[in-house]
Amino acid sequence: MTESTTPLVDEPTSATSVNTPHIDQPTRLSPDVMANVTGALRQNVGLLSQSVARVHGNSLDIQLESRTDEAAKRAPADLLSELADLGFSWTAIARVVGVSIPAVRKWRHGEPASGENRRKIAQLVALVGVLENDHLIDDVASWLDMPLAGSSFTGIDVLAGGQLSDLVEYAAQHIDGTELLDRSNPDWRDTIDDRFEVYRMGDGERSIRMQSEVQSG
Amino acid sequence: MEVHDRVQEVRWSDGYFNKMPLDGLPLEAPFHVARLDLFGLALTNELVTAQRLACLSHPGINQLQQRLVHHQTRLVVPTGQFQQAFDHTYEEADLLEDWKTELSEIDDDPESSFEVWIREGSPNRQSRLQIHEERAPIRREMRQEIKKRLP
Repeated sequence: MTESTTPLVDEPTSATSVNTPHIDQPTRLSPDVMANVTGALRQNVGLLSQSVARVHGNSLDIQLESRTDEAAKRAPADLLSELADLGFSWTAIARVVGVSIPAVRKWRHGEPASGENRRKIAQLVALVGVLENDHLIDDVASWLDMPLAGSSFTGIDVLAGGQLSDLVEYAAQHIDGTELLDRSNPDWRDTIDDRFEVYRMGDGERSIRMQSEVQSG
Repeated sequence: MEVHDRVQEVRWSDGYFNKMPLDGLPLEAPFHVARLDLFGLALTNELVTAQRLACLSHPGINQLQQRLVHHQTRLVVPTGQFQQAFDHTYEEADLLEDWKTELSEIDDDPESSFEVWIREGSPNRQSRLQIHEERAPIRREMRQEIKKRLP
């Protein structure tokens, strides 16, 4: 008679599970590695940000060019009349286009402008459209008259320097007034002198005085 | 005003303090200066009859004021301060010029009618010009007024 053999092994020969490792401290990078990794990450993000800003700047230029093409189809006298109705001064328009006020007067009365000047007038009209429609700036002429960053420079000064897309970036609040002036006129701080201030005299007119007079009363 | 030798630009900031350089005037000689030591008031009728060769830009007016104040007092006031203090008067002068140009054919005395118009309102337009944000609205008001007056 054959006796059935019962295996004597009552436990598996291999483990059914892996022991949970005992972790008494979380895994972490050394401070040096951490600093290097985050530094590299920051640099990459910075480069990416610069790259996107460049692409954005280029796209703003393209947008302005496209709208300028459209506006340039109209007669210069018509464009100038629109700008004047919006509240632009002839002085400001002459500065932005880079000509004398008598030249602007001639164009208003129908004399032809050169192709380059006609385009500059159209460019200003196009910019106004972008600022009004895309950046919801009410009364663009007035907005461009406002002093920037506590200086006597205005948006018209920036436009006179040809920095149209920088002004659009400022309108979109991607840059502040200080950076706008840094880009358009790096020497702008030289014109500000804290030793002087403009104040209102007893006759109601403005005068200039040294700051120390304010402190001494 | 007199003919002057052209000198290096940088030398105007450390000398020639009794002169204002005037480059590019439409005259035979290429370079002129205004003599600040001969400064004085001009009568209105002299201004009307004199031949106007050129006008200073706003930055040019600021520089003239800086040189004149320095010549008379030896105090250097930054041009930005002149701009800040007097830009509303430049603005008014521009408005007057535009008013005269547009209305000269129908108005015998545009200076007087402008004077009345700029002083209308409370606060009047002349005072409002001191506020930057008010300038464009005043230009628009003037443009509408000119259109209303023209036949």
